[in-house]
Amino acid sequence: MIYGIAYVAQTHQLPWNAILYPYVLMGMIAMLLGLVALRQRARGDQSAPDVNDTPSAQEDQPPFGKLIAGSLVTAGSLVTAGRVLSVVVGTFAYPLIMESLGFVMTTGLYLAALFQIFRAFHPVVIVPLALAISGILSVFLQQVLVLNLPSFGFADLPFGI
Amino acid sequence: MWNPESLLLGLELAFSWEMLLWLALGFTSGLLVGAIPGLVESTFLAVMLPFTIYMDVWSAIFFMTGGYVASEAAGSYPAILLNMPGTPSASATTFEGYALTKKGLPGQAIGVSVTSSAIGTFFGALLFMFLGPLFGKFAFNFNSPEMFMLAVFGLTAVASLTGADPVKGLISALLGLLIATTGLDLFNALPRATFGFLEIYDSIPLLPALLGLFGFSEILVLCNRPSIIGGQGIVYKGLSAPLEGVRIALGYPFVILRSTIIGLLVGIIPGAGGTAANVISYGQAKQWSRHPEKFGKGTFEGLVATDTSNNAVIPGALIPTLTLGIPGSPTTVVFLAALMLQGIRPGPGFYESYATQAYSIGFGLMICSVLVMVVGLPLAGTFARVAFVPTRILVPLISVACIIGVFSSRQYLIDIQIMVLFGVLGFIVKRYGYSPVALLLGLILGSLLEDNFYRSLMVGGPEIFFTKPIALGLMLLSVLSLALPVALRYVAKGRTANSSRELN
Repeated sequence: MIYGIAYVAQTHQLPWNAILYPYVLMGMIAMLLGLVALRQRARGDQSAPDVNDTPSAQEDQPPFGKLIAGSLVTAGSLVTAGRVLSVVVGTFAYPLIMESLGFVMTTGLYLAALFQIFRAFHPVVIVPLALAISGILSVFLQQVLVLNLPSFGFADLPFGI
Repeated sequence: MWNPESLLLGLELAFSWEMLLWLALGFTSGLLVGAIPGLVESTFLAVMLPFTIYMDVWSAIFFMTGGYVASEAAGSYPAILLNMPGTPSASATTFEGYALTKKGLPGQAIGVSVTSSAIGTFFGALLFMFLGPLFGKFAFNFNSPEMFMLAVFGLTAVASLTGADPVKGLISALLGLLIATTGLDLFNALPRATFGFLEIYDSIPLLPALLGLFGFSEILVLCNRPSIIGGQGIVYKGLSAPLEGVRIALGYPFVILRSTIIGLLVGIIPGAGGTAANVISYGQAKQWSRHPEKFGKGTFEGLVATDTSNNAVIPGALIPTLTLGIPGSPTTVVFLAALMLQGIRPGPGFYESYATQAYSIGFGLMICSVLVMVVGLPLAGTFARVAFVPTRILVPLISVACIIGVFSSRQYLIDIQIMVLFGVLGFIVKRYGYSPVALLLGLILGSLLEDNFYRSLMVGGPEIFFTKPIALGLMLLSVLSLALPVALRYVAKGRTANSSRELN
């Protein structure tokens, strides 16, 4: 719904032939969502999980999902939620940091942070390992795939260091 | 239609040492690339393109053919083991493949996948060689109304069949179509829902969306598990489990035949590509199955369908590329470019001018199908071991692999954030019983659908869809694919009600 509102807000001034198709789609989505809501109301149990949920969706219910629903709040699930949020926030922030720190340092930091959060290795091993992996990846991407990776601006440091 | 002399010369060319060497080299590289989630075959082939200029034209084409087939086949390995399609065309492979891995059958699933891929490639190659010119002619009949209706049929079939609730499936498909409208509109080139980001003026890029919906969302789930397979998992040694998979795959001859035809037809239709074939074939397998209720819980039948079709797409996609000069899939765009860089203009008459070479490509595809079995099966155990790596190591490494895969495709930093957003969306969509598959197909077919809809209207008005027989047939199929599951459900409910009344 938020996406739909934002969509309309950005496009409502465009000519009709540019927005007719997406607006028809939005109308259909709204109508069908209304139908789903009506069906749930008819069942008289809006809070219960939908019986029409796909089997995989039911089976794959992770405790994090349950945590969101507020039905399971334990120390273990808090750790899980923390990890999930770390991955989401860390990955979302990755490109922002890479712009200034460059590929090798950002990937090294990102990997080291995730290794630490998931307690993958001994803390002494984590930083060199993360930097080594990011270094190898950098060589692969630059030399083999010939990609132009963002790099840390050493020349911009004070006193030319 | 085809002459035996060219066929024999093509065979001779395909089995020359030079061609075999380039084919094997391309195949090995493609296997590695395909197995890395996010590193798609088109990126790999595009990167290799500058080097192929220095090769002989047909050596270059053989190298690329090997790479294409191998990456399509290997794209299923991470899809099966990590729920993370290695290539976009392995997206539907995750539905059954990953469910089988969770059941403790990763080796068998890979055996089924390898066999299906090999058979799909082999039969696809046969049809490519002998029916190529005919299919090229048939593709000429697909104009805008037919293309539009084909896309509608694909969407309705997937929407009604990928979940237990067709309404939620349809909502997912429509949401996919809506998201696909992001970018410049067709008439005025005005930005729609770009929110000021220049990087999405073309549209939402497919790869970040796909990796987000099927890869990153799974990373979020994996955060809670000690390993991909619950408990200790089932360890297998040697080739016994994959060989069992071979036997299992051969037990579904009709699924193989149907999926090969679907893959080939979808491949022939310009622009549709392996992802659509993969998803449509899965939907059809579920529709025709005796046990549709097992789909989504780990059934070999679904896996056979997906993996046969996505490899049968390769020969199919090469047909319009070579005969019409129109690429059948995103990857064959690179093929087209490779040929044009070498001074060869594909199009009508290609079979007349380069019949020997066209047949040699067909034989090259057949050799690839053998390589898929010979190389893929022994490596299955190695790939399968990935599933037993603790997630505390796997999650950080997969996250980085996703980031690199997404970044390497366009080198836009915003793609990483798009992947994260789609990852969260995928997590929520699965949570509330909507269909991520239908959403993905909506995204894939969105621009094709809108483009052909407006073109059809401009050419003949709304009535054009009723005057074209193929379009009309596809329209009826679309209505049927939506109405049939609902009707069947009512019939089943009626039977249940009757039987309970009799019991009372």
